[in-house]
Amino acid sequence: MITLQSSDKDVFEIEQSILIQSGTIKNMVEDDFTFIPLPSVDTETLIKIIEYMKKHADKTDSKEKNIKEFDKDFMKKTLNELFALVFAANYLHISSLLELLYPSIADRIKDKITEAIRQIFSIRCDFTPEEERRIIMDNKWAHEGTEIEGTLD
Amino acid sequence: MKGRLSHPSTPIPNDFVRKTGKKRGGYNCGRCGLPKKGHVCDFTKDSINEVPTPTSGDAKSFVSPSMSSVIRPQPPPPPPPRQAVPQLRRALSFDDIGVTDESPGSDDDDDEREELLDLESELDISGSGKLPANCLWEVLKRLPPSSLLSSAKVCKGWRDVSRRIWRSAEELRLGVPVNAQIGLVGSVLKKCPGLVKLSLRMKSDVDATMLACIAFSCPNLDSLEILTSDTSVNRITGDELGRFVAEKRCLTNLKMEGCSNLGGFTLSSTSLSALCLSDLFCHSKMVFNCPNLKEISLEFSRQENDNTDLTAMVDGLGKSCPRLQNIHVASVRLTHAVVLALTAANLRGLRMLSLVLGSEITDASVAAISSSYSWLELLDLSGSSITDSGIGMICNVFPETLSNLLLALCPNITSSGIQFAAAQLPNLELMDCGMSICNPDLDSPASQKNDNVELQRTPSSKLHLIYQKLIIKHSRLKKLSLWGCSSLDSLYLNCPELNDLNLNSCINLNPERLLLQCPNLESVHASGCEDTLVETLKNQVSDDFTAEDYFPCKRLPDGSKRIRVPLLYSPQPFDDAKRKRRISKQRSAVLVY
Repeated sequence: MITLQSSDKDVFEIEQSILIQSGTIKNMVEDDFTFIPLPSVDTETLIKIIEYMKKHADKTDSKEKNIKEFDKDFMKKTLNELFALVFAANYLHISSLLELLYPSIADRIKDKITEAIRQIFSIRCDFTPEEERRIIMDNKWAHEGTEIEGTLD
Repeated sequence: MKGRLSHPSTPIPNDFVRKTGKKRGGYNCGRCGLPKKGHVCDFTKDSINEVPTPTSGDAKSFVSPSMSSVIRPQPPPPPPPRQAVPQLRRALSFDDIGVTDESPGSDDDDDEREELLDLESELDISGSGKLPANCLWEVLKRLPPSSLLSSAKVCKGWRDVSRRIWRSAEELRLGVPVNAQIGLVGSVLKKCPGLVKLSLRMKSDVDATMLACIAFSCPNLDSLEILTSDTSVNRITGDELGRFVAEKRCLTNLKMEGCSNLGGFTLSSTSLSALCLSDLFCHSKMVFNCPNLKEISLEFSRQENDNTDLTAMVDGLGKSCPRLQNIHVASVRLTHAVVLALTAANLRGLRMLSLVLGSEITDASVAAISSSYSWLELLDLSGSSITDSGIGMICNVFPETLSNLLLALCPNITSSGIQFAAAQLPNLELMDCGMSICNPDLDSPASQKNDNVELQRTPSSKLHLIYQKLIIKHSRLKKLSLWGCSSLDSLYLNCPELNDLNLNSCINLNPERLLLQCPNLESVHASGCEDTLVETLKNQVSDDFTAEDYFPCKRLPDGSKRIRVPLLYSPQPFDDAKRKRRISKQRSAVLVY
């Protein structure tokens, strides 16, 4: 049993066999660590990560359908939750979860207009009006006949 | 200081940077990724002195980077885990539907990585702290191209990531809308000079200016597809195509639809290895000077009055393309003479032969083929007039190698021939006998209502053709297609490896005379069948069974193929909300527009 500690100092005891899906944890375990602090992962996110790993630990054929359903539902979270999961999964090296998260996030942002994306990511526009115009001109041809305006979600 | 780790603000081993998305010289603790300000690090030296190895999760899509030097001044650690480094090669699809596909990275330059690290600090400044930089790359990489273009407008950092993704693109699928001008394609192609595979689905007309644009913008192109649609006409002429092929020295794969305007042509290329032309019509000469051509697929339009000399073409093919392994010709004007020309060519490497729609292909043709090419793995003579004796010949010659036998729409074969084939060909994995055991007169929708009346009128000599039974016991058969076999009355299958069974429109198959002992059966197609039959099918198969609507469709000439025919029966939706749907092993979304 391995103990994980979130940034909020909550501890979780999980079987080693489940946690080795995380490359980071796997290496620490190989170095005989049993207590692993994760100061960059908060409790809420850690709970979700553990839930994911538990579901994916047992990969027999008959469970494949269940796992797919689970994955689909698992992605039904707010964008901010997904971002937190990406940070955590990236740090913990859980590639299967990342492979699930990337297309989900891409899908969520693909139809959004620029301003909406800036709001989601809290990005300040750093283009001068001239630069902005140039970008639109560069891509002008490509936008012909293609609907790019999305809705603000 | 502490082992390999020095002050957190100096560069840190590669792997750790990627794990935490740390920005070089940034504000976060190098060991745990939290902001440095007022922070006391809990980590000890021991916890991070080992470089994590890549997890096996996505092993298939990663190739170990072949780095010879390391950016960092630190003692070089082993190459960082591949999954933490973005796949720098990708495929883009530009389409109304926006299907994306990725191609695995083949090599990884130090330069690219260094650019990416610069990127991290830029992004930090622009405040997209919601995602680590490499993850942002991964997300943007999966956007459909139109969104990728829009993402460039967000901020400078995103513009640069977007630009880099375009530049690293190797594969592009573009849907060119109806009123598009050449500038559209040109401007898109300009963004991805490293393009290796290009697929254009044209909704507007295409002519040689497109070829010129492609030739100019894509120096490394090795695979080109030009697909047409109902709204577009392909105006490329034979000369223009010939010029393009001759000049593009690295082109290995070419596929083009709508080739009716090609006229006479000569294609000369030492690099071309796979060629697929469809909608061919009236070509005064078709010369293929492609010594390295391995696969060729020529589909002729079914219009009448096609005056192409197929015999001369095949003759030439045999002489100038000695390395052919895979031939597919679909034309209603295939004759025995064409087959003879082919057999005279003595193509030693021929393994897959498909001559379809030629109703003038007879058992004599089979004799010729089997005497010259006894190592065939795939033989497709759908639409021909061969009989059960032709099948007998096939079984005599090809038992060791034949794994795919397709005899759809062969009206002169019967279930005994099929049974014989199944019994005599131990390596058979795919058999397609669609619409071969049927009597079209009897099965037209109008006569179905008058079934009894019709049967009474049918001479008894033909009765045996109506109620045909099929007993197949085969240890290797994986796919069996009996679509449209409306004269099939009973079916017994004992095939432990069978995955896919197509019984679409087997309207006369009697549920009481159906026995399936195929434990590995994954999907059964039963659209157009009676409900009782469907019920029986459900009961006979294992828990993992699903069935779905399915229509016979054409596949590419590299394996299993079926003829696309006008559907005789309207589909009856096979919907049962309780039944679980599982996607059967179809090709991936790559080919679906």
